[in-house]
Amino acid sequence: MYSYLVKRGLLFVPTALLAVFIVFLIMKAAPGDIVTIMVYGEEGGAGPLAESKALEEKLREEMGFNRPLVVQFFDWVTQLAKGDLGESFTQRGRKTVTVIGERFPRTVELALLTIILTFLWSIPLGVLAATKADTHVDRAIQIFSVAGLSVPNFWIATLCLIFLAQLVGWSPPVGWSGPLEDPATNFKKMLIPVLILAYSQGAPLLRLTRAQMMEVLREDYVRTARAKGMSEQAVVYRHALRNSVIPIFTMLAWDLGRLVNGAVLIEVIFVIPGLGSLFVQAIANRDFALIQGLVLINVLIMLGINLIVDMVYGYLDPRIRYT
Amino acid sequence: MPVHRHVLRSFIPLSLILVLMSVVACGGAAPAPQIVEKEVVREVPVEKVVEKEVIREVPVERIVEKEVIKEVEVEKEVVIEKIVVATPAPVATGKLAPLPAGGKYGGELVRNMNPGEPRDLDFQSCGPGSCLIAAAPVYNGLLRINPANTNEIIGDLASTWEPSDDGLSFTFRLREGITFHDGMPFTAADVKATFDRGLDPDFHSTRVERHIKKLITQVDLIDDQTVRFVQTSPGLLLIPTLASNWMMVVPKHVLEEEALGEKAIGTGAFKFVKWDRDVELVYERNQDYFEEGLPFLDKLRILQINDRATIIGALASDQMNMWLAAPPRPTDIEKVEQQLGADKVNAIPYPVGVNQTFIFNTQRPPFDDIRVRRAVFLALDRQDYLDKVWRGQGVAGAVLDPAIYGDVAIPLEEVNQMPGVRQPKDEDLAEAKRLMAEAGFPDGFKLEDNECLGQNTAQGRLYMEVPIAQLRTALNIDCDIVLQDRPSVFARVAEGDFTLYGHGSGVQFKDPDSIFGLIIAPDAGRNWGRWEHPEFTELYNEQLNAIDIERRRELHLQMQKFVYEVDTGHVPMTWNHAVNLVRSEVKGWHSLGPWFEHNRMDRVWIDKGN
Repeated sequence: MYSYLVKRGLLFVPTALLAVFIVFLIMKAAPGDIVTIMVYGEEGGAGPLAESKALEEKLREEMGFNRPLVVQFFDWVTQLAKGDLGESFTQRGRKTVTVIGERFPRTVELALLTIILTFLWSIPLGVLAATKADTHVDRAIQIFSVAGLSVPNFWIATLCLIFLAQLVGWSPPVGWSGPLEDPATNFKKMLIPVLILAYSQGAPLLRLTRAQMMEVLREDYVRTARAKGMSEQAVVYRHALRNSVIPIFTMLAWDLGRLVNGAVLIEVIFVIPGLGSLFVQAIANRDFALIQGLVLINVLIMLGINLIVDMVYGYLDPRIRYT
Repeated sequence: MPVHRHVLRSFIPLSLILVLMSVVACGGAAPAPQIVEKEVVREVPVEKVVEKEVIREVPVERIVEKEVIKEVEVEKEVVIEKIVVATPAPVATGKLAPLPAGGKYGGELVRNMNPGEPRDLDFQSCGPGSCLIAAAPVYNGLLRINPANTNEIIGDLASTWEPSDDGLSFTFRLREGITFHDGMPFTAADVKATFDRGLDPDFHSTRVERHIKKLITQVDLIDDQTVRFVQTSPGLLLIPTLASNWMMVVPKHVLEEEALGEKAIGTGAFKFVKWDRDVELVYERNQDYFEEGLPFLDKLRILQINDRATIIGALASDQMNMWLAAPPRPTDIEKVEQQLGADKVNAIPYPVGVNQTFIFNTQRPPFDDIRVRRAVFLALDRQDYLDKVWRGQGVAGAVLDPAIYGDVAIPLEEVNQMPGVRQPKDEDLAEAKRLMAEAGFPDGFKLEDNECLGQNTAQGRLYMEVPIAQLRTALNIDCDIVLQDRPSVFARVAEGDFTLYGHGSGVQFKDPDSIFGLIIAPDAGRNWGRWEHPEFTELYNEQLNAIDIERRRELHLQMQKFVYEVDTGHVPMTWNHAVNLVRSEVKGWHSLGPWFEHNRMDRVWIDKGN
């Protein structure tokens, strides 16, 4: 097991670097960079054309953009080895590590709360739908889940904001307070976005749970369990659900990974300054250092979650062993 | 499970991320103080005793009698007197902007910020307008636009100013007894340090290139309260430029620490408290503000909200008082009025100060031919563009928006009679077709792929789609528009890698040079189509160095007429107007157009009693 973990851990490094390098090449291949925005694109900007060209060159020189791509990337890797992801251009003068570190806990809070709520509502309802298949209960649950699948969460968010304001004159707090700093305000802030995200994340999970359970409930061993006189609850939860849980858990973990990487639109709409909105800003401004840092973090998160999922498989299904 | 399957599995998220990334990636000096005699007609109230015989019929009990009374009557007399005025500098006055009546102290005001938060707090080198919104409450400039009269420039930190005899420099006398928020005294050394930084060859920012290095050669310290600006050449541009909020004064000691990006320490009405990035900026009242009795507010918060529904919710739920930046659309206004009640919110219209233009690359055929440029100029329908792009809100076809530039701009009635702007378009279209035939394109033409460029934003798309559709119909000129993101577009236009491009440029100070010097002048930073005409250049250079206000105004009018009657590289399409939504409890706030002056909030108060 330990040797397996070490091998997987070692694979993280080349995988993450390769991902960052490919993203780096793609970003560099696109025309324009932060310098073009600074020199030509900003309000009040655009000095005389000739001076602008000279300024463009000078800034590029200062930022090291004139060097060969491989050298630029190698420098970044060298910095990385020292635990430094470079300096952000969009948040001038600030270390990328600091910028990401500031946002990370906010996104993690949103992701964890969402996943917990998703787990709490979608799996029980999926089980209920499977056990009450083709009844009114099942149909009602299916309509609810299909709506969650088909309606974009940003649209639900927009409607929520407008209706809440119109009907009760309330909207989530616009400022930010951390859960330790001001729990009550934080709760008010996170309530609606977590509900919306959990709804949209839970809908496919519910359908998967229902499908898995329906398949397992038809298995011989379930019939045998019932024939042995086991209670329906024991049959469903101890035998059927446990044998359906691997794909459900895989999907839940995948959702967590995606959420930790940022629920961009929900973050923007509810003014939650997390990694998602930061990523969008970084790409819009060609903030290479920040983009590379975020990609690295994202890849590591996904790889880490994947590894955890693999480990949990062994617990969920004792037949799975790693060497 | 064999290890290689895990290896493969570990690549699954990687592959997905890469696919995602791929999608994203594609995706004179002053006027010689000449003394002129002017005949001025003034209305002067004169109290004059006039004896009049007035006959009135007064009902007296059953007796009607005639009464003779004397009345004192005040009448206005028109007198002609000769006064002496100093030209051409704007009036140097030590007065402060008037203190609004009825202001109430206390309370907190919450407003929104432009999309695109500041990179840092160093407004001299930070580009987006949000940098100025963040800095405006904290700092003062030497001069400011009078909030009570936007056509007037008054002293801010400067009490008086005067041009030198040779017209090359301006000397500013500073107000005394002003301190920075950290208690350090404000002196002329701070002014010198602020502008010296901009003049430093190693310090670069587009703003500095345009506003400081272009105009100023040096700043001389005369004494603690006096400073002299030496200009590159005689001219009047320095005064409106110094009244721009980009030109605020920062403490010398903060500059020496190289801490302007992190610290906002000014002399302004509000002290900077904190900046939670992407959430809010917080300020508190400066108890020692030099304008006695100001500010009214205890606290000011600027929220970084980019979503319209969130802003509407915040306004309706009493979490925000003003929607100033990223102006609301008509539907947004309706929603807010529905939720709050129309009497609880005021929609205050203002000229945004962004000029949308359609740009030719004059280095590329066929737009290197003045006849083709002229044909397009005549064929484009500005009113249709205004209706489609801005729902009719704004000014169509003006080179300078009169709502911003006042009498320096050609009046709208006159603009509407100009070639290219006038309606109906029959005469202009006939002339456009004649010119196209003369240039060898009687049946129009289609540009190659990748020649028509636009930004991939909602507005950027319209800036191109609407005029190209017009040209397709009117002159059979066609092209496939390539929409790209901002950095890509700027990289291409800077290299002249386009044939047609639509863009909106914001103006930053109250002088026609804010637009001529930005997009049309031969060396203008956004003269991306490299248009140049010797006659226009002559006019431009003359206005730059003109020291007589009237002559300068005349030249500005001639330059505008030149665009309509002769040629241009930027076809002026529109100046859009928008509204600010302000809840009724906010008092004393006036929109000052595109100028950042109204972001200072020094004269605003909250009165929930109404």
